[in-house]
Amino acid sequence: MSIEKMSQVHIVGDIEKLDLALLKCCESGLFHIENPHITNKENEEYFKSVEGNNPYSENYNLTLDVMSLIELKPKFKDYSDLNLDANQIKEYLSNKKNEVLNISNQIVALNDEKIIYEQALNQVEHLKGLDVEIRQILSSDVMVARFGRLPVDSFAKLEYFSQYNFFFFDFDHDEDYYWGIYFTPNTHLEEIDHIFKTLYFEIIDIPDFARGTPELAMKSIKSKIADIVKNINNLEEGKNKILLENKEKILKIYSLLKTKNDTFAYRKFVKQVYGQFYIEGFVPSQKFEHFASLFDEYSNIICEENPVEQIADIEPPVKLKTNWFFKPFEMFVKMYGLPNYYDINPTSFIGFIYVLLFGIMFGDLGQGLVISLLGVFLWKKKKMQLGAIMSRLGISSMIFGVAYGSVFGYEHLLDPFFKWIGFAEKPIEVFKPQTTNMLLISAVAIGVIILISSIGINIYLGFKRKNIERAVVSNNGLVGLILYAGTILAAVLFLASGINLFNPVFIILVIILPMLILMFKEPIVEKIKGKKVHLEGGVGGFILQNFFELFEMSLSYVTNTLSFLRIGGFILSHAGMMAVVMTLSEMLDGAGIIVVIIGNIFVMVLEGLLAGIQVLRLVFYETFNRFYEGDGKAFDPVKVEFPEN
Amino acid sequence: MPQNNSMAILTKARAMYGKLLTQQQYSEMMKCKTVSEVAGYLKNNTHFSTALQNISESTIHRGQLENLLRKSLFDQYARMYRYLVDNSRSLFYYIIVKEEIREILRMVLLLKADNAKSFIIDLPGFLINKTNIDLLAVARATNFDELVLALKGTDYEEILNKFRPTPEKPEINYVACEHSFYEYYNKSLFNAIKTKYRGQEQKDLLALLSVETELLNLSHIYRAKCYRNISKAEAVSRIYPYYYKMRAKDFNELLDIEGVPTLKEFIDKTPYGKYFTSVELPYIENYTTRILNYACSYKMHFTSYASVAFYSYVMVSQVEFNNVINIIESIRYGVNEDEIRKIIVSRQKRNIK
Repeated sequence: MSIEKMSQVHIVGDIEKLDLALLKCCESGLFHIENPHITNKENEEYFKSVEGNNPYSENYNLTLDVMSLIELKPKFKDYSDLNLDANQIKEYLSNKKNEVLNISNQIVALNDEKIIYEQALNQVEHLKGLDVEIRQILSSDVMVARFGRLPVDSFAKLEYFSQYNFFFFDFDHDEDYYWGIYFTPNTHLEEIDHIFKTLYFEIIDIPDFARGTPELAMKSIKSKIADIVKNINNLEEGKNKILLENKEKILKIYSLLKTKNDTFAYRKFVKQVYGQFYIEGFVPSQKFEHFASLFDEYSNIICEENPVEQIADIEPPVKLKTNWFFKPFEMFVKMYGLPNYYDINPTSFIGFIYVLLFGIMFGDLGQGLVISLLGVFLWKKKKMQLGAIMSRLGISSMIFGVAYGSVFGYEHLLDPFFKWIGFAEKPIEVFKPQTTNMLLISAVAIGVIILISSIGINIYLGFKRKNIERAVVSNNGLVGLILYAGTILAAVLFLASGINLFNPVFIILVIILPMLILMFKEPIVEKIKGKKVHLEGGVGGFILQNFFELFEMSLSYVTNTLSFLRIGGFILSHAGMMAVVMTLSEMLDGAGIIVVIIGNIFVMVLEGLLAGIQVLRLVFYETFNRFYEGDGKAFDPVKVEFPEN
Repeated sequence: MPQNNSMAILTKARAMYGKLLTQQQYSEMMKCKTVSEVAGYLKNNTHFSTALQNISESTIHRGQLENLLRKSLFDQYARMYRYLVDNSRSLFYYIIVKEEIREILRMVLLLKADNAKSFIIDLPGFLINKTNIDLLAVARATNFDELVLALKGTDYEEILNKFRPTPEKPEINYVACEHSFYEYYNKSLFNAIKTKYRGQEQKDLLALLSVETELLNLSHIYRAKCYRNISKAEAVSRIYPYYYKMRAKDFNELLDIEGVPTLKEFIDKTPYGKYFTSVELPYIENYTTRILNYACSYKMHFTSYASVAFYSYVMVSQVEFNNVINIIESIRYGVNEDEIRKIIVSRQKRNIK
């Protein structure tokens, strides 16, 4: 339940060594950088910013340009053997860029040419019903022919112009246009052109290279397109050759420049004073020695440590420290918000509750194994954090599955095993009436234990933070604990053994007094702090408001406890659904096994999801609400991140 | 209770309503510099994309674009109409009637201007086979008599005959002619609704139609008072006798008012007064269309009758169509964005106070 101890670290050195210091910080993966915390305002004027124009950005952007041109995916490549200065890099990259651009421009030009031919092909394709040479039609001395397309809307109007001296011949049409040709004598050309213009006829220019009949023209255009495609492929090959020959070098340059460029960006956190740079940040205390040793060889860089306890007004970043089994559950904690540095790491606590409750709700040896294996697959292969959680939940599900004697819904498959180890039957038979009651009571009992533990943690944190109100006089403090645990204890003793604790003394001390304290907690706290007691809204208003708050709080103790009944409910519903699957499989003799497989998949997906969500709800709502304040700041070490392949 | 296929129409109408152009899309269209850009925008970013998928936006003509948009609307109505039960088909019939009247009146105007030949240019081709009149015969008319002849045997013949020019009165009274046609349209539609629908459905449809005509009356009177100095008798003759929120008495009082400020004051006190914004909009129709759009949108959301949803959709989609045409025209004539914005009626209620 711990949070990594942090040390505040100051790094001071000659300004010329700043880039080196930042690089070391990035490489270490241990340094969380912050803006220098200068307590004395008078000193602020001496601390100057060191930001300036990034000298690496130009070459870095040039590298990205070249990589994009040759379609090279960025990734890290060790650049220690690269012996090029900035100018040489610029020259090399510019040459490569020009080379590639030249090829790319040729490809663009060829693609443009290809588009023209394709458009021409598209036009000529609409003429393929015409068995006459295109040029012959276009070159008549007495008559003019216009190829083109006429909107369907206008085609309907042609009848209106039937008295005019033209002939429209359509050879193709779709929903919107008629493709065709209109013929008119030279003498009437102006008039007919005007008519077709008003009908929105779009003239299609038949390119000069379309010779012969439309069929022949199409053939010739297709062959031209094929030539262009061949040329484009040749140029693409040339580009690929450049990629292959220069890939290694360009990646090295990229890695070098990205490192320099990204490191330079951290300068915004750095101050300089009298020619010295000043960096402030946090390093995990355990790793400080290793971190400081990175600067040992540089005499003009000093790295010093300050334990954070000695510094007021500082909020160190939070790095959770969790054992390997519960580590994946950090995801849920981060989802809610990281704890404060001075609080506790609740991951193991909620991980334990999560694993336990899920196992109880979803107990099945076979299904647990499937969930576990699927989890391992998603975790290892797909790098999904949820997969790691599933692998743990599966184990818990398997353990409880053994207790329930359930394997993929077969409730008696493990009976020989139980007999072998000396049991008369399986330990828990879910559908026995007395077991059902026991399950529901146990569910509530687990809830009570979890709630008391959460209140206990809150009391501990309250005392740790010296917050008396939180530790003692709150519904999740000592007084609340006495009220809740005392009442539960008395009720359990009365129901289980007939011992009646509800005598006047008990009622006054364990129920009424805590209630009154909770009701008047604000004036009590103010009195303890020595402040003047102020009742908001007057005495009447204060009592009325706090009475209802007390009522709501008492009600929440009951509802929160009963909320855990769902654990029992899910055990029953899981067993019930599997019973349905088994009944269906028995009904369908031949396809029984298929029903079992589909049924198991259905139950695993549906129940698994529901149980997962319900447990998360119990953890976030019933547990975290009582002690957790997710107001921590994440430990985020400086680094240069390269894309992963 | 609405029938199952009515529920399907309701859902379909609401889905189509949901695709109508948004304020954001209108704003983006207003930023276009040419008709081609607007066509490109409509083709690539709006529900008109299917209708415009094959156009070449760089060469498309304004009239062609307008016709394609009009056809797209007509096709939408036709698609919905296919699913409507028999009763509601009459509503689609009246959409065609309205289109016929629009085309006949366009021809009357062209005849007045001695330019009948240009009728064919803007005639939407898709209507030729859809209407109950021979539009090509109408297009061939070169004078009023030929127009009446082209419409022989239809109800329109009788209406047109009343306005046939004579040697004593050679001018066609277009305003009166237009009023007669729409009077015929309103009367037929009101009667159809009263005969074919019952209960709340009839009430809702009549409400929509009444609001539409009442607002038309309001804008007619406003225009007559502000821009034309016409007699009260003439103004009365232009009012359609259908009322919803106002009474005949209110219109009479309105006709007696002298001076624009008093007229505005009076309108502010009518049930529609609250919708007139403090921001000055250029024309009275900019207000009345907003009100009508709001009324139809409201019905669109809350009605459980397919016919009401259908009629409401027709109205709001017509508003959208007019918006697009207004934007295109404004861009052609270089009107600035702020001015265009004033005449656009969007779906948001907050445009109306």
